[in-house]
Amino acid sequence: MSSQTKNVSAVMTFSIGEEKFAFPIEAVRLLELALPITPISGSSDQVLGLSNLRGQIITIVDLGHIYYGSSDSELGKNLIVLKPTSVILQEEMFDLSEKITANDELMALHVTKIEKIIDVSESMWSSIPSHIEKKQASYLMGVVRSNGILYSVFNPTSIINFCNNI
Amino acid sequence: MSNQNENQAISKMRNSLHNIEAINEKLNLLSLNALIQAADAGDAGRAFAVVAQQMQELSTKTAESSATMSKDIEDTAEELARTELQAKGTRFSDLAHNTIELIDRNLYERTADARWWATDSDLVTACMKSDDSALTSKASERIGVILRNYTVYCDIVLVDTDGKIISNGGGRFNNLGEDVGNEEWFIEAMQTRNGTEYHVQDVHSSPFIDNNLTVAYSTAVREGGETSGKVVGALCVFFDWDQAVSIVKNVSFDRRDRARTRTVYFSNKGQVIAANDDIGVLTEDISELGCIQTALQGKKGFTEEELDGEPYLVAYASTPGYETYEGLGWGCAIFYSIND
Repeated sequence: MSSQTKNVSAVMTFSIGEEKFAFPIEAVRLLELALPITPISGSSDQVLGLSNLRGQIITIVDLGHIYYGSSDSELGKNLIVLKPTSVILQEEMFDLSEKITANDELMALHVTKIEKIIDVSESMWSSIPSHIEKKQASYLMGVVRSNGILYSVFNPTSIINFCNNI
Repeated sequence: MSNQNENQAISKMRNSLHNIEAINEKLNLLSLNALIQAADAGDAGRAFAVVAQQMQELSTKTAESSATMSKDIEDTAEELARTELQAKGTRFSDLAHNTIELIDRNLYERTADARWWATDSDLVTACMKSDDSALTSKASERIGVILRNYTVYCDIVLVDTDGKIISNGGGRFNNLGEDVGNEEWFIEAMQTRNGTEYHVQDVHSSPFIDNNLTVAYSTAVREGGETSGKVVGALCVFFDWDQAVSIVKNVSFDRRDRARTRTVYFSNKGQVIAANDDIGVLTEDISELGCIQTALQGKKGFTEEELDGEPYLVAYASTPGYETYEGLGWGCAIFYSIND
């Protein structure tokens, strides 16, 4: 379990395929319905393309592809728009890589379906189960249990670092 | 309300519900975004968070109501589909009954024709003096007149006691002089006990009418045309089986049902003897189907059967016979593809 979990007050839950995940809302700018995507030639497989969000160009990344290493043939219906790195660095909530330069670019994660926001307390956290592969575990900060459901919580640091390096 | 209107009403309800769900999805995202903004604003956003929370509760309740409504709609749609299928099954089994009755009535008349024409004086005389070509020609002319007025026959043949065709309808089939001594219909006709009896040979391909399919009705020709007269020959009428095929091809379905329906006549052994798609005639055996077995027991009804992995509604009826004609134990089956 990452030491950064103490900075997480609530997580936004969603699904990728049939699996339940969560993302700390401290790193989330807003949520959107899926937008039309313009593919970018030569980009990595995880990048689905660019979208126009009310006049602002955002890069759409397939979160399932990052986590599972391959894409689901059926794209989801929701987007999680992340805060720009400039804001995250300023808020100092998460330890972004020093190599990352602060910028105002917006990036969105494509997921199957956004569900709800859950307030989290320290007692709800548990460690990442050992059966999860090392590479996948590197994208998570822990697991949150709520109403009997386990949510694997993505580590914003890992995801933003990954996105800034692709 | 007609079935089509019911389906349209269900479709409209589904569309409306879909719109509600789409709007609620946006409401849910809106409330979640409000919660995110409230969290970002810290203490200043606390009151806003309460409103956002209530919005989300509303969205959740709407989603629950939509799910209940969706289930209700699908249950209703399923119930309607079942009722429609039941109504269709009843209608189709009535159609199957009418279709088989239609051929039975037609064939009843053929039994009457054979027995009546076997007493025709020209035909009787030709049989009694079968060596007289003038008399056999006259009989052929007489048969020709009959054939021109009765289009349900391929041919009518007069046979002497040795089994040689001495007269026919003239022209269409070259069967004069043919030996039919070993044919079932001839042997059985010669064994009839009196002029009220006849024999019917089930659907077969006959070499005497260019291998066309036919049902052959035959009876003995008796001296003087008397019911108990001495047998002097035989008469056989070859029913044109295309007439039966025409009936199964013209069952009164509406356009949509017709495209999803196959209609067949089957024999008392469960073999297809006519089909609206002309497939499997005298080669396809459907006796293994439970519903065909039921039909062969003289019952009428409908059931659902899986054929080649696809669900079908199968309506069936067996021959009721007509007047003195008991029929040949045939049945009619209507296969309706349940899936579009």
